Amino acid sequence: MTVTVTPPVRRKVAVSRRVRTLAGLSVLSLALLLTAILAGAASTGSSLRTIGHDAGPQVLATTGLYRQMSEMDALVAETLLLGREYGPQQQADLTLYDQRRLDISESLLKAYRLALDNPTEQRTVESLIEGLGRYERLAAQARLLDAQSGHTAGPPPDHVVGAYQRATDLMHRELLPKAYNLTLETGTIVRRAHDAERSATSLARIAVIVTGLLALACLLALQTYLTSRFRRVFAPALVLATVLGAAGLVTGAVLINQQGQALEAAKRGGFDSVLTLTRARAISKSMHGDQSRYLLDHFRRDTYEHTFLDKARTVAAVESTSLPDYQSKLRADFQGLLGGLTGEDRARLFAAYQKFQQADARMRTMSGEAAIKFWDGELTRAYESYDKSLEELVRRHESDFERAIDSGDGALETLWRLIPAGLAAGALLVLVGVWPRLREYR
Amino acid sequence: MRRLLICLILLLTACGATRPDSLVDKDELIVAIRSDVPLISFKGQDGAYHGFNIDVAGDLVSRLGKRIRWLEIKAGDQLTVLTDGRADLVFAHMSVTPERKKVIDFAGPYHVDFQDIAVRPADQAAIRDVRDLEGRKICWVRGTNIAQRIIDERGVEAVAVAAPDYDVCLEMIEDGRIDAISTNSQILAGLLTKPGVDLHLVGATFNEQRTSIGVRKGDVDGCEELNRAITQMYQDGTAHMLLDKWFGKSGIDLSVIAVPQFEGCS
Repeated sequence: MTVTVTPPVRRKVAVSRRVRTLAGLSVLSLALLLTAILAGAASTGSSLRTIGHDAGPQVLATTGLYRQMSEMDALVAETLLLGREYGPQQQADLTLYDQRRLDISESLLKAYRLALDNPTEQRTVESLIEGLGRYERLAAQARLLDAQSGHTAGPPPDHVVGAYQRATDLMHRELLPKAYNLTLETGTIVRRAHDAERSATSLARIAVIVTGLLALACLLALQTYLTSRFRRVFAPALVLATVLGAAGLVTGAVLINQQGQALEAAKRGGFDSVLTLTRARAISKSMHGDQSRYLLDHFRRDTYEHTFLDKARTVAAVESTSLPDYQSKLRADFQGLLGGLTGEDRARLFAAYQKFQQADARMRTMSGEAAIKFWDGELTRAYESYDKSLEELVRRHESDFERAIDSGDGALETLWRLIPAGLAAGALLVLVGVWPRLREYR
Repeated sequence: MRRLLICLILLLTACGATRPDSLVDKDELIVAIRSDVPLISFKGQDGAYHGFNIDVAGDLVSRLGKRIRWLEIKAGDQLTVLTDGRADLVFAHMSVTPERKKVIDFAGPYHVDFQDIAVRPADQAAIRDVRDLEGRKICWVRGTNIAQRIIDERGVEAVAVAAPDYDVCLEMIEDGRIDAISTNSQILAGLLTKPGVDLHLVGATFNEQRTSIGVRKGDVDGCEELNRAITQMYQDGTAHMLLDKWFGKSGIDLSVIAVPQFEGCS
């Protein structure tokens, strides 16, 4: 009887090589898993930084520009309309005007900083600074002529209206469009950065799952091999390493996912909403300005009524043919910039907006002194209460935004601290697990 | 393990679903234009297209680094040509309306125009303002919203008389079937250059007309790129030069040339 036996030395070498290979592969795949998780964390982290700490807040700051500038122009119209018996109120308007000018300088500086690698946008900011200088000159001229005329409340003399027309034309035909486009463009910068990083994140998520499964497969293979070769049920260190690997995979995937969700929440629920609502608020401010211009400039009444309607349709669109038609058809199912609101927010804001529109409709049926009194009293109050509910909404979405960014930052911290430690321990345990087996072959 | 694999495949396919088709991915763009509007877009004797819209389209598309293939369309096709996918851009002097925005998106506007009125020289003294159109007959070219903007929006009770195009309007005002033609001042300026036309431009600038570029619904990237190109066109003086080239002698007020407020892309 002949028995063929493999020479024991060769068999020993083969087994030890196989154990070593499997152990090496396990450690390597754990290292790959760690790399994938860290790369994913880095990419969502940079996205969070863009939206939460760099570009995002700056964009939100520049959205104020349009509102501040239209408020400046509305304040000029108001001082011209008020006449000499409203002296103290005129003075208050001027103080507010100076305050707005200060705000505008700050917003422009922020916009310029944001546009550092975008020459087209930089040029827009530069031309806004130049244009505002021209506007101030024209507005000062109108105010001087107005003070000299010493008229009572109501439309000032024609030459004052003419001077104001030059100022407001500059504001509405050159400066406000540029400010509006600037906000759109900065929004584009953030949107593109977000899109690019979002696809990087989803790629990282896949990489985490693939490398994680690979690590688990290697660990299981090693375990099975050792079990069948050495007739041991299991090596405790390897079991622990497998558990750690699985935990790393699951927490890595979950945290990257959570971070991605935080990013989405910050972008959609916070950033986008704040952007849209601020735009609506800015346009509403300009609508209120159109009302005073309607009273101030009888040459252009039709035009100002029409621009008011255009803006109203942008803010809350209902199908309609004229301003009275719009005001009578205004229902809670409107579209437009505010059309995305839901639930109680929508109902509350709609009620305030409708009151504002109803007051507007009443003002347009009045004439002369009565219209100005009504505009100065009830209409302005209706506007202010509508503006206030819009402002509250903006505030709330701003804090949603900050909260989402904070939760993303928190997930990021856990990712950086716990997972590398866990996976390193796993790798160490693999070595501890195979060490005694390898020693048997020495 | 198999369940995990399925999850993995699902994830991979989810990743493959990229952004929608955009004009920025193409090398050649099909640009829809009209060929019968003097000064704005018309076919010259040499068979090539000329006009303000043609020059603006050429300038903007070259700023995007792409080539143009022209596609001639009729007045009523501005929307369908985009929804059917036959064109990438529409330069047909379209203004933005909420109804149109439901089916297409708008880049720009690249120019803000006003509505004006053309009348026979004999009516020059009687019609000076849009309110003077009360009870008068005005031309309504099918597919446009201009007549409605006078009657419904302004509440001026004029009588709209339908016509297939502006050439018919010119014939009708000549033989007295209508009293006035009202549309964008640029289009009117073009009509007045036609041989044998003797009309007076009232200069009653009302209703802003925001002349925009039609793009396919959802093409945010393409829309944003076009807006950037429009901003540059105004910044480097090209817009000024083109407006002056085509409308410098028309009597249209070109004292303020500034980049229009964009409609926004999303």
